[in-house]
Formats: sequence, C-alpha cells, structure tokens
Amino acid sequence: MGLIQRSMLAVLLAAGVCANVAAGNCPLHYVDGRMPEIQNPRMQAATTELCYDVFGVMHSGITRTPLWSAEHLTADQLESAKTLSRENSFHPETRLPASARAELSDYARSGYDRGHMAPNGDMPDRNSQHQSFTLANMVPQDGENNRHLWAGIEAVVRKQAGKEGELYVLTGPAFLGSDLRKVGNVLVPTHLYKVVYSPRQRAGAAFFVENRATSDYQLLSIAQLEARIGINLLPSLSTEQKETVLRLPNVKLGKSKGRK
Amino acid sequence: MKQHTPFQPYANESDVRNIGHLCIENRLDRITLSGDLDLTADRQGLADARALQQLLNAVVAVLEGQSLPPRLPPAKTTTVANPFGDPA
Repeated sequence: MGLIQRSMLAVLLAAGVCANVAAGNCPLHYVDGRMPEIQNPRMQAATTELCYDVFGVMHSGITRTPLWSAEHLTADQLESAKTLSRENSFHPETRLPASARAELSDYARSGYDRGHMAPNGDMPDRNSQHQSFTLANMVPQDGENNRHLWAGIEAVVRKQAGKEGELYVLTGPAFLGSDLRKVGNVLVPTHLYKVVYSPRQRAGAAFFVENRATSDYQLLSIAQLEARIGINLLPSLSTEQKETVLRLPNVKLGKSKGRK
Repeated sequence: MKQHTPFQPYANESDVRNIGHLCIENRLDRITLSGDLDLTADRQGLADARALQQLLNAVVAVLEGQSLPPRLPPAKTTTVANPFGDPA
C-alpha cells in the first residue's frame, strides 16, 4: 500500500495538484492526512518515513527507533484483530540501511523488552501483524511497564476506538534530559506517549509515562505533550482543539500482553 | 512469516508464540511469558496445557544441559549525551 500511495503522491506532485509535501507518503494513517512536523532540527536528521498496511512510522537513524507510529484505528479492524492467532517473529527493518537500523543483537541481553509502538493487538490480518514486529516499530521498553501499564493503555485505546467507531493514534518515545541510556546502537527512551484523537468529538488526549516499572501515567492535552517532545503531532488542529482534552476511561493495570 | 517451526528456547531473539493470551518470547538470555491463560476443562484447555508443557519441557532440557550461573550478570547499558539536546 505504501508504494501505491507513494506513486499516487508522485503523480499528484508531478501534476502540481498537491504542493503539500508535509502530507508524507502514508497520509491515510494521519489526521486530515497531515504528517506530524518535527520542530527540533537535531531530531529531523536521519529520519525515514516507512509506510505499512495499517500504520506508518517515522524512523530515526540516530535513536534507531521510531519517533512515532501512526494508526487510524477502526472498530472493524479491531474486530478482525480479536480472532487472529499470534505466531510471530521480531525482525530488523531491511528497508533501512544497516547504518540506521536496529538489529536483534542490539536488544539481546539488554534487559529491555522490544516494546511495540503500533501494537500487535491492533493488527487486523497476518501481514500487518508481521509488519508490526519490525524493529522499526520498537523501542527498548521496561518489561514491567510494557506488560502491565502499557498493555492497559493499549487496551483502553482499543476499547475507546470500538466505542467511537474510529480513532487516530500516534505512539512514540520521548528522549528527555541531558543523558540517555543506550543498548547496543539503540537509544533507550526516557518516556513513552500515546496520543488518541477522536474525529467524532474533534478532541484528543495523550497518555504520557516514564519508561520504568511504574503504574503511574499522566493524561495530557495534545498541546502539553507537543511542548514536551518538540513535535507538532497534529498539525491540522487549531490551538484551541489541541487544548481540549478528550475524556478517556481509567487504565486498568495488568491485563494480558497476549492481547497486546 | 514462518509458521509451525519448532520453538527452540534461547536459540534466537525473534520467535514469538501465543498460547491463549499467554505470549511467549524467545530471547538469548531468557524466555519471557506474559499475559494470562485459562486452562479450561475442555479440549481447548487440554491442547493449551500440552502446548505449555511442551514449551516448558524444552526450556528445562536446554537449561539442564548448560552450566548455569546462579544469576544472570547485569545487562550492559551505556550512557551517552542526548543527541537531541535537553530542552528542559
């Protein structure tokens, strides 16, 4: 699908119809087709956009992680996801050059989980499920966090998408502070975020958690999260819309990774 | 996307299997089991129980065949300056 979208965009660009390059190569996964805009030039360096069937990744060759993973979740998609068997394999992203990508060996013996950004549990078919296991969709994540708090957040988002009919979701790491930990060639994020946006309510909110064994999370406005991470995540929204916080159910801890 | 290849514990960093909602990840230094599983008193429960037993037998066999340290050594992580700078 990525290739088809890319060539369609190329046609549009060649025809001079679409001058908005910021739409990116996989606009279907983004609110109003608008890709997030990185505001920190140091973060912009060595980025590659990767399109998959039901999610799109902005990959950083500096952190060797995604900076975000974007999904347009629909109730139908989640219904299909429920019945899938889950025999899978983590794999490096061979579309990226070896100098920019994470390898399985970076994570080996690191003590960290390979934490999905676009969750396996959202994937509606075998192909997208396999795609979700690319290391371009992973960050080194504290195991406790991944399996309990984060799995709970993912479950809340799926439930909400089922209720709303559709949701746009952006999930990614934050690298804050003067020093960072590194495993192999991969940087360990200090925090993780998950933005949800409801087209029906024209409002969104963001979960924000530290990358450690914790049951604490913050629910932020889109505006607050954007200020913290230096990315304009939803460029088509007005300032006022970004300050309106979508009401979301509380996160229940400890639901299974198997549904992740 | 290989299916039904045997799960060889500790052999790689890539295999993932599920038994019910129990997720099994192969790592070089550990097998991670997360999630939950009801072993129900029906045919599905028996199939799941056998799959779990097979997995655990394989894990025990690999570990018994090795000379093991009392505990794994601590993971190696390094610390680097934040390449994105510190906006705070």
